[in-house]
Amino acid sequence: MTPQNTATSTSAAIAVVVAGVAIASLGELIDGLAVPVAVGGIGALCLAVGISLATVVGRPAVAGASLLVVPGGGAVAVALVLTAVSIGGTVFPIPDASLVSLSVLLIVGHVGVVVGTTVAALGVGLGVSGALGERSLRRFGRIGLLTAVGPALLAGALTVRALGTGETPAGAAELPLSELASLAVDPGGGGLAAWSFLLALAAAAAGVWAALAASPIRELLDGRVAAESQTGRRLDRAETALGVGAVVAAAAAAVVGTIELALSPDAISDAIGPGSYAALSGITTAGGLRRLLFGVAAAGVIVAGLAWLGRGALRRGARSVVPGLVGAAIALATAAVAEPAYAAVVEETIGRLPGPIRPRWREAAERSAAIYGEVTLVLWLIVGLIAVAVGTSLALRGVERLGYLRMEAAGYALGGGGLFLAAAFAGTIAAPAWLVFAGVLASLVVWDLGRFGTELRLEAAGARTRRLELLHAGATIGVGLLGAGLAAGIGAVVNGLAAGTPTTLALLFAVAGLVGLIAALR
Amino acid sequence: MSDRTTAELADSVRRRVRPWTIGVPMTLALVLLGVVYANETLLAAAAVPLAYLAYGTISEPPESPSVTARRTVDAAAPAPGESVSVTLSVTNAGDRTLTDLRVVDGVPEPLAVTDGRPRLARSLGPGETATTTYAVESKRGTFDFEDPAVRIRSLSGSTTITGRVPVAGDRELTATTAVREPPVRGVPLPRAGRRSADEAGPGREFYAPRPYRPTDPIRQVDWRHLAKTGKLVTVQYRREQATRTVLVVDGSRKGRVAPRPGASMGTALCGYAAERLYEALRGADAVTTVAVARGETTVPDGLVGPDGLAWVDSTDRRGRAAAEGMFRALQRTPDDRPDPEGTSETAGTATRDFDRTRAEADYDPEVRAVLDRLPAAAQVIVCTPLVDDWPVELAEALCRREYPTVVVSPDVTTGSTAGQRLAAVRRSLRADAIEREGGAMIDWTPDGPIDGAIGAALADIS
Repeated sequence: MTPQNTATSTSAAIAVVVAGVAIASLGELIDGLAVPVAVGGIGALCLAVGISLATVVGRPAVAGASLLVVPGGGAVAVALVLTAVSIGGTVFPIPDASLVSLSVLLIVGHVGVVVGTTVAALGVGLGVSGALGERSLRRFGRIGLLTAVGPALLAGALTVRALGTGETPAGAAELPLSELASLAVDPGGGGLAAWSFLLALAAAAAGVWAALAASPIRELLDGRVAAESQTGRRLDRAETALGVGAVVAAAAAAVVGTIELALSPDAISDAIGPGSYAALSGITTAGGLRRLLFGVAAAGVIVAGLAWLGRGALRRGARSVVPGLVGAAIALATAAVAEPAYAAVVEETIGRLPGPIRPRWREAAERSAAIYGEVTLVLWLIVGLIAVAVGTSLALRGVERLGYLRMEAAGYALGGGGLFLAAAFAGTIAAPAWLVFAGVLASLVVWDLGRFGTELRLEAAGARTRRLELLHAGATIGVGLLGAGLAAGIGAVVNGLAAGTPTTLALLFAVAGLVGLIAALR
Repeated sequence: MSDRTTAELADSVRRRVRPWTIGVPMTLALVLLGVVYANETLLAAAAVPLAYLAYGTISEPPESPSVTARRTVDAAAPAPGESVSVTLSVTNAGDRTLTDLRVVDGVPEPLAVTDGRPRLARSLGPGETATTTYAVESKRGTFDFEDPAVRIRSLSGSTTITGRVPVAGDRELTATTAVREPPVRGVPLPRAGRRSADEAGPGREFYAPRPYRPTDPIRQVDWRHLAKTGKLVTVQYRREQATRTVLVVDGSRKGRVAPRPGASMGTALCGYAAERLYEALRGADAVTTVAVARGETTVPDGLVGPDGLAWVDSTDRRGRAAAEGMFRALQRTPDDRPDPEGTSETAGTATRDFDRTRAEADYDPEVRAVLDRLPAAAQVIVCTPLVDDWPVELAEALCRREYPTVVVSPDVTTGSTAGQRLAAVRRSLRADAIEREGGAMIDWTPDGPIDGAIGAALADIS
């Protein structure tokens, strides 16, 4: 953790209380959002704790962060899906086509509120811990990815088995893997199939390139000599040739594929001569050669993957091993409870869907379960939830890289931004006006107190600052209340105007007048 | 000490931060959303960020803030290592409230703040005063405090004024020198500067009778013996010889360790102890020599001889000045880490058999240098933090030559970490080894007064 990035206790406490009250009010006072907002908040706090733990050295902290990846991502995903499904269930079926856009906006508004409150909870949580930073996000993302390895491998293996063995009900799978595999190895059709051969060639070249690049050949050579040695130079040349070859083969596959699509095999035969065509066809459609190329590609990818994992394990030790073990444990636990879990998820989701589409969803769920099995689907669901958590950390890194979170109190800035988003979207779904005003006020208060408290901690560390903090917080909240009162007054005046008065226009003029006044003061 | 107070901030810089410009994008977003949705609530909500924008615009600190400061240092002349309380009071001398005043006192860098904080963050009404009290650990020498840095912010935080406020009251902290300290009381000091030798000669103490010789002084004839036996016997007295007290200070870089951050280091404490002993001996008119061993990087240039020893006979003014210079240098040793050589002590050397008989040729060159320079009649006080085996070797060599030897050692291994506890055990083993050789070991814990240690050391040599 980085205590330098935390705010003083009084400011932090006020910011947390203000954010908590605002989030709770938005959830409670907007119909149908109480549960999603609460679930999203819990997920956000799990993610905040996980990201904070990612900065702590030691196996227990890494294990804790790894364990929080699934509930964090899961709760956030559930909150969003639940909101979309619940609100969708209430507005569909839409009686009139002209109301479709309104219904979509209504769903977007509700989801926006949940996104905002979730981001607010995440930001304030990270603000309190002071852990928001490029390093913590990078570590958390890596922990998430390593946690996903176990479930993803198991789910992948089960998927391959389900599709490869063909043990699927007739017609259930449109294009099983075995069919794809046989097409890749034996294209048939009497054509050249040069495009797929070139793709196989590109895959093989890329696989070998990846294996060479990742394998520890250079480390095995003397580092001093490697750059100058013949082996080192050969290795460099081979890598360059393979990389260029893969790109050229892939590009050629696109060109050749276009030609094959445009011209018939006879036309191509006439163009290049029957002898050449027969010889070329013998090479491009040779099943053994294709098997060899795909085998080389697969072997290259496996070697590269193992080398990557090995390097990571050597370099990061516990940080790579522990999440992998946690992921494996999660995969096994998921496999044990997959069937009832899948049934519960399906029932819960279908129960919230609009009536007309429920049977279709039920049928799709049952068919998927029949093809892949419940275990596979739930494992993929777990991988998806981890992806949400990792995606959140990636999104935060992106925001940080863009420079929006480089200020000292990044967590509180994120929290304030989330509250503002929630308040703005609440305004679009006819939430009470005072709630919108309070949400905007709360967003600015959280942002300001976080910034003020963090700066104060840096400048007056250890000094008694409570009185100053209370004065500052009081002033900030007081100004916000004045602003909210002004907003309410404007709203009341506008509502009191005679019918037919363009109220939006009137309000625009009022806001423009305020902006002009402030600009003049500045 | 100055009593001057000045209200104006020196070198003040006024800066606008404009944090509330965040209200602009928020207002625009709300207006845009309100227009797109034709939503009056969103448009009206734009008044909230606008209010903050206005707040940031109109909230300003006073144009010319008036602040006075007074610093009080509690102890007039503290001993090195003593905790000194410093109180800083800041008063708003203007007629406007300073809503956000932050002050950082200019504590001299070498002094570590051990308690409290030299910082203030308050809002002050006109005439109001804020006070902070903190403690620093004094070090040998005079240290100047800088004027406190002051930052005044507007309530909205959109404008800051940063500067320094000239401080009234105490502006420096001087850790006492031994000269100003009261003499050690209750200890029989060595007054004569001479001690009896184990042979007959001029003196006042009875040594042995012998048969009368015609050249013997008549007053040395034992008349009682003549009356009893009829034989002339001459009384011999124990010869008195001039005695010199040699203060050997261990100036090794290895002694630059402290029990905690900010505390005085072992070498500095040795210098302090030696200075106090030196002043006590001078007060008793004892002939004193000051030597600093292993102090090439510590003592002033020109004092270290070719044998690596800084050796000063303080019989005259120049000698005394040189000795005091060495004490000052020792107590101002830079706060750096011991050299790698100094930390490379192995378990084998730490647990070696101290009782092993050692050939003289095996002695460390600096031990040999001390032995070579010592006069025949000398008593030796060694000041050392005892963090390596060198002082043990020196004490062993001294005791085997029957020099009365006292080792005064400040304990810098009082920390609670595992490493410090291990160092404490090693030091204790070294102290035991010195006592087994016949040296007197005076252990001084720097958290307590040094007077007891000095008294014990002087008692042992007198």
